[in-house]
Amino acid sequence: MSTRKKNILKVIILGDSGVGKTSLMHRYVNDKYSQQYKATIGADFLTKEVNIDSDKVATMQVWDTAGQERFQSLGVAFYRGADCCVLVYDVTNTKSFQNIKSWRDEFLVHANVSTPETFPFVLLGNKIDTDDSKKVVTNKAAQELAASLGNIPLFFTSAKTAINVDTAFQEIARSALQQNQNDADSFEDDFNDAINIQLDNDTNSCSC
Amino acid sequence: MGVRSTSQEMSRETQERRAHSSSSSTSLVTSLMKSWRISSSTTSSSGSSSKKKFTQSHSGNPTTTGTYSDTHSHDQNPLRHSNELGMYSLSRSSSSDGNFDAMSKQQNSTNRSLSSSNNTYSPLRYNSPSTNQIDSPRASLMRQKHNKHSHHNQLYYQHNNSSAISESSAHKKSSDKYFEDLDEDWSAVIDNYNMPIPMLTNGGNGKSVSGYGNNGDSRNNLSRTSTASSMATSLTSNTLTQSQSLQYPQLPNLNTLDIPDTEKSQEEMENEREVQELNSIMQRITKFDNIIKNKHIINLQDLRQLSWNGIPKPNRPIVWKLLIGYLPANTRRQESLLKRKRQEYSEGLKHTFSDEHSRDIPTWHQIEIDIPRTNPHIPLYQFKSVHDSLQRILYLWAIRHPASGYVQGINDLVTPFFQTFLTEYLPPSRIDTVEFTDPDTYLTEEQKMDLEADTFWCLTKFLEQITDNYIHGQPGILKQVKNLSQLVKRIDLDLYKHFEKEHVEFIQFAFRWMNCLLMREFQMDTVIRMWDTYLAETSPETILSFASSNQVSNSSEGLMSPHTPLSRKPATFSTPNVDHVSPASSVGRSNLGANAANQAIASPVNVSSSDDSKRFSHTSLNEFHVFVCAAFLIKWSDVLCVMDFQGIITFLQNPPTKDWKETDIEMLLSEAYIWQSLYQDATSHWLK
Repeated sequence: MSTRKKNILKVIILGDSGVGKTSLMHRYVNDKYSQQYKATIGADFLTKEVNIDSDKVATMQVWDTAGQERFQSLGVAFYRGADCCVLVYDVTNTKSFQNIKSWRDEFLVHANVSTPETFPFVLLGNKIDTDDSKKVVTNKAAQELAASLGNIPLFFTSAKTAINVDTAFQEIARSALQQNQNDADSFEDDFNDAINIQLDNDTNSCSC
Repeated sequence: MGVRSTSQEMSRETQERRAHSSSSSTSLVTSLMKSWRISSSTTSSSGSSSKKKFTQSHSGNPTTTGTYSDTHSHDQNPLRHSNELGMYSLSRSSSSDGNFDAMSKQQNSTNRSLSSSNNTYSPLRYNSPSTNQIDSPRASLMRQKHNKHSHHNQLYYQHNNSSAISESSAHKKSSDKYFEDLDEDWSAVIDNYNMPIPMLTNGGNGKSVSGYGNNGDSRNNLSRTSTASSMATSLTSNTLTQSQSLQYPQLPNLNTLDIPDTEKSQEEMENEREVQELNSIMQRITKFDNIIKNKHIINLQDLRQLSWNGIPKPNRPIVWKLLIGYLPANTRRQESLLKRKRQEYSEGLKHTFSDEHSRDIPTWHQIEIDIPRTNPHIPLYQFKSVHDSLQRILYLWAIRHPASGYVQGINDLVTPFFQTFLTEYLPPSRIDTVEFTDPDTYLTEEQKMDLEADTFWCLTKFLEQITDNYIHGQPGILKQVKNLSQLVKRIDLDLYKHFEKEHVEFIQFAFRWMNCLLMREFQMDTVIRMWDTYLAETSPETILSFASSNQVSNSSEGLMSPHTPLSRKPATFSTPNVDHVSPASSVGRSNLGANAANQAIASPVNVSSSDDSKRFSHTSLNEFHVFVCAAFLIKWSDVLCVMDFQGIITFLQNPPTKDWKETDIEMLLSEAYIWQSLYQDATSHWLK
């Protein structure tokens, strides 16, 4: 049915500089971690074949964007046509957490999505492998934020130790696929527009 | 000197021919360059057959071959000449133009060796021997430039009227200036082992030709070498035929070069290769020394021309400082200036890190997290002392330039300067260890501050040339990306259409190319080689002539904009910094009374200064960079055209350049230069 996109799921990763967007993407796509990633300029691009709910296959195209605020005006070129937006913060960096909402708003402004209120976001708190003493963003605050952003799924991840990365991206793929189908359907049948894809995601929040 | 001017005479002739071949379309250029590339890449693994295939790839294009061999009859056809009057841009973008651009480079070197041994001139050529003999290289250079516009005056041919030459110069710009450089550069790259050392020039050709084939192909040195040599020989004999028809003296032995490489043992070849490489390096070092040593005023224009083709490692630090306008051309002022700038830097640091200054936390943090991620694969950038130095340099730069501030990518741009200037403190034999050695092991604290200061000021000067890349919204980069797409649309419509079909947007891959000047795409040593050329493209004079130019208003805004952030600086910094631009140019002005400072040096033709400033007004680092990016992209055209969106983006994210050598970069730059000389006129209309 969704011939328009042929099951290509376009995913955007956003978040402050240095929160680990590139590392997360590489952990997910290549199952590797390196300390040697250069700062992303513009956006990096990786793809992965994904199985969703063991019966659907899709290609996930991940755009890993640059974190420096300066590059935000560039976003348009990469945001367009996204099926899911991943918001990443660093649990050891308050500022990165505080900026999540503005990243989301920025995305909605530039991505030109058809139904902003239902567009799937996933929130990731990265670097949970670090010492508890260094963690400055509490899980509770994160859950509250996730709830306030429309009950979006929340995962605490570590790209370094691979904690929760696959789980998170499974959810991202599922959300993206749903969004993708919704979008495709809405072209042919406005009836489906009313489905709130977030409903079945609620149970997935905070797997910690 | 005589050698040089005669070779230029010859290359001028080649270019004249080129200028007279119109009638074909742009896509033909592309297909020609492509076919050249393809054929040579298929042959690079089988050296013996390369000559044949190379020839085929040319003869495969009837227009090209025809034009090439028929040029003389064209030249002598006045009707054709007059038809071509005023068709400058058309003829420049013809396919055979592209061919001749390349071919003329081949011929330049060959011809030079031919002519260097004998000063006989062909009556077919437009020269008047007396002019040639008294020619300064500069004069000959000037006239050579005119030839690009030679269809303005067929008088050249018919009357040997040298005064027509100077008249024509008013109508043209001097983008040819690099041809003789290429020629010289390739003289430094030797493949043809049978040549006695003074004949090195012949050898350079082949390698450069083979460069087309090296990209994306296996890099077997040996096969490349022999490929190159046989190509060179094929060209040589080709040229020889040509020159015979021009009544050149026939050089003995050239034809015997056809065979030998394949018969030589590998070891022999390697030995000879090494010897020749060493010799050519020594030659080049001498050339640079001649310009920069024991001179009161350094001729920056000569230095730029020479540097465009690469700077030997021992000369590089000082030459870079001269090219970027940090060191004044007046050598008597260098020492005091260095002292002052270094003092300023350390005072700037003192002020910035004093209690009076409240730290810009976001900027500091951004730099702090970027520095460990800068060149993570090079050990040098893992040392604590280097981190600290870069942090100071970048932070100071950022807070002194509030209009742009620190932008990711600038951390990349600082490193070629840092690394190159470090080599100043290493003995020549250890220059290559700079990437592995902790500077703290050989630098005193004071030297480290000097190094930082030099790096800081050169980075400052460099970024001044491309300021609108980093101010808010990055308009410079967006413009470049747009220009790149327009350029590719004209050069390689197939690729452009394929991108459109696959919904590939240029910004998706080219943003980084612009933001980091392709640094992310290449290894550091090739980047540094590339910067030799890039720094030769930058100049304080550019800004000056931009100011007086009524053209390209958009670009001039960009170039002038550095003064905005400058003027906002604290007085301690701004005054000396503005001062700092002037020494070189004021020296130029006062000594020579010409507004395009160094351009006017030794130029006997009065119109040249306006002429050259026009050329400079056409080019800037950013603009040249777009052509380099275009050349880079088109290199992969054949591969990209069969890929889908995903494949294209993935490929361009990580192009196969890991094994690129300096010669590959030089090829890329040459191709960019060709595209620029073909499209510059056109671009002045749409590159805005």
